[in-house]
Amino acid sequence: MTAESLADEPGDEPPPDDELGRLVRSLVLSERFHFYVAVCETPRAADALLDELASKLPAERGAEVRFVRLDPYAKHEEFGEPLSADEVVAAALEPLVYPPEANRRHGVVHVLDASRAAPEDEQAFRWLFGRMNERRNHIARALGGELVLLATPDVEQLFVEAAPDFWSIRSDTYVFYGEAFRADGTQVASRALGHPPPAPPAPPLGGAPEVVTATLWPPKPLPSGRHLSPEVARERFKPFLEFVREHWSVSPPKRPFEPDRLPETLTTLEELLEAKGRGSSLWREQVGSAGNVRAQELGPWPYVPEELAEGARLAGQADVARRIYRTIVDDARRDGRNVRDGQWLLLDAAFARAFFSLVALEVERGDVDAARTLVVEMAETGGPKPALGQQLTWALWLQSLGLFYRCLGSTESALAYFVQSIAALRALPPLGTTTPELLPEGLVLASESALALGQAEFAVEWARAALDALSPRWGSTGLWAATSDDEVARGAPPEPARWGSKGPRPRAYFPLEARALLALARAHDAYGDIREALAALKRAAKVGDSLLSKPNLYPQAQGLAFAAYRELAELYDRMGDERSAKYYRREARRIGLDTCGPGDGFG
Amino acid sequence: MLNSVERVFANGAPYLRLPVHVIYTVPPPMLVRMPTDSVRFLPMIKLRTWDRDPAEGAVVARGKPFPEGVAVAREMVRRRVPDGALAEFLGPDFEGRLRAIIQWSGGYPRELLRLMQRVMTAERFPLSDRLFQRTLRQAADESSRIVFSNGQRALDMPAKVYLTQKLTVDPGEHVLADRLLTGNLILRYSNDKEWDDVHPALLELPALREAIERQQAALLAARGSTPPPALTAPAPG
Repeated sequence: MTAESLADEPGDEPPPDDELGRLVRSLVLSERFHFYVAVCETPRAADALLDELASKLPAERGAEVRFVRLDPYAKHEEFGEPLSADEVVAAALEPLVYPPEANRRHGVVHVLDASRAAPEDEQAFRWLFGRMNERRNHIARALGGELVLLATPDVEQLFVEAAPDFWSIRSDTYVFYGEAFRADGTQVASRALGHPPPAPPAPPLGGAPEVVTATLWPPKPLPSGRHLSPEVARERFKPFLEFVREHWSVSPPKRPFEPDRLPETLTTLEELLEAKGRGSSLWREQVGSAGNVRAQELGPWPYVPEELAEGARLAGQADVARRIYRTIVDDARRDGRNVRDGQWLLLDAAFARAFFSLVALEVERGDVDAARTLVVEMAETGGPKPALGQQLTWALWLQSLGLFYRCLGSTESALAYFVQSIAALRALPPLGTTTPELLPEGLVLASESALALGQAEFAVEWARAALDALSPRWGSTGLWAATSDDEVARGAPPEPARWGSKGPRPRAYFPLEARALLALARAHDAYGDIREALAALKRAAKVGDSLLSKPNLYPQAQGLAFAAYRELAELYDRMGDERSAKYYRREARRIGLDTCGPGDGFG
Repeated sequence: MLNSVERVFANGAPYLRLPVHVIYTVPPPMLVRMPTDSVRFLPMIKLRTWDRDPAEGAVVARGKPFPEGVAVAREMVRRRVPDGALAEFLGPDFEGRLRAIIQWSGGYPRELLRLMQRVMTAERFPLSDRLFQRTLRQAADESSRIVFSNGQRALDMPAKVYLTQKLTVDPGEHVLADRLLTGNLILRYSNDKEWDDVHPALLELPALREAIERQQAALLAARGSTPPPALTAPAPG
């Protein structure tokens, strides 16, 4: 396998091997001074990494390990003022060059935390690294134990440049992408045991009566191996439906959909739809991302039209997407009576997702009546099959309701439904490769809604949870595909060991990651944490920008990158940094978008 | 930092002449900053020969492994890790994999030992093919981060080195050359004469291979020759 083959799509890049495990094993094997570089994308990831090391290393070594964290910002109180040389010397250089006697031994791990380095402190860190470079041999002798540098990718490059000799004696470099860790370390530990992450705390819901009513009716899964007929499944949805009819009210949408300017990339959609109309009820083509038929074989048919529909939606062909989603829904109902047991889940997933996408499309263009009709229809139909499929339909129905309420301007109700849909999605076992982005999408929606309600703290939590769910360690195709649909249909539980497996991240993850980062940045900004907001916005811009070269992701990427650059410029304007603001305004102009499209997460 | 070194050795040279034998060591970029015959270079281990177009002089393909260099690198590993342990880490074909690791090191001893350390901290032994490839690729990621943080010129310069086997630095490119040399992305070798090459890990980067092909085509077009076949990534070993 070459880097070329891996670099074809961003989602094809496999995550690094278990970096945390490698770092722990390196530290366990070490018996004297060794220098390690841990590249963490965010300060939060650095915090979590340190927590993980502190919890795992003593047990692995079978001996006491003491961590000495050297944080140049520990006593820096003047926010906005650059670090001074005195602060850097006191907090980092002196403890390395002249460590107290108690720290000059094996068993003491020094951690130089440069993960919080701000752009205005570049000179201070360059100076620090330069002095470390000069004293590298002395530091190696003085410490006796290991030294771990926690650095962002930018700081890593600064270190290479300012301390090339120190860098050359590193034992290894470890890269921790995304928000793979939580500050309390529980997330990583729970994943290692094969359990999904715990639900974030629920926000205050304000006692909305419809929420209380809705929670009375989550359909219960049947024991494995048993299935209900579609008719009985619909019966189970009846109370649900009555609730909808009773409580529904319609008011004007919050804001109209702004049509985007998107290139038309899918040219064979109509032909394929016609071919499907002529053919059997099951798709027999494997269709590539560009719409070309690659092979004639019986494949997982729901994936194909879904992929086409999503492609059309991304390409701005909303009407085409709507038609395909509608076809999926109708076919799922019809074909539901004919397919084998192992394909039930595919049908269910296709049905639920298609319905949800239809609602989202209507919400995007502000057609409240159409969205309402669809949500009612979704509740009325209840999916072609019960059990897990019905649970999935339930979860996405809740998410659809949330979208609908947001469109109405009732953000509080929307948030309540998003929270419930998150809980429902978390209760589901892996459902094949079609569903893994649903949970992060729900989390992003919840974060955006919480922020709109002024609940910045919850918005941060949910955005972080979304990034965690999207991280390579957790949200990989390999992980979700670890238990096959057939196995799930037979009631097989996911195997813990296989939950830990890794694979390429699905393509859809990258725009979602940028959306989550935007939500995180806005929440941090609302919270008054400018530094974190800047870091998140820069990452969002980087992700969005990197997707601009992918034609099938271009529209979303354009909106996301533009939003990130624009907000960076605004933040720097507020901070009085005209130079940076000018730079990011120029970057926003480069993206060439006057207003944000739907990829902006509804602004 | 390099400016300080340059000041000391260029401006302060008279003061460095002590009445005893002294060996001063300087970082590799000093060779570019203050070219002088008095600096002896500690070269990398030569691991490959090169196939050149005899008429045009440009490199047309990576050559065969250079057995003497590979043997030296192999001996470095043998003195640190016994063959039995290597078989445990790398599997029955440990010699083949070790050859791949040696080639990936580019003849830079620290890189070779770092790669071996990386292998030994894997979760399971022996390494599967996929994990082995990933281990090598992760090592390359570090290099690619340096390249991509320095823009397009950081691709053009190694491409030129690859084709000419000589690092030439134009005015205004010293900082970039410093970074590539200190990052060991451009390595210097020596047999009867000194020559430069790019780190083998960099050749895995499609963007660099494109830059090489572009420069090679331009070079040959200027001479009225037919461009050679497209460059492919080197197979380990």
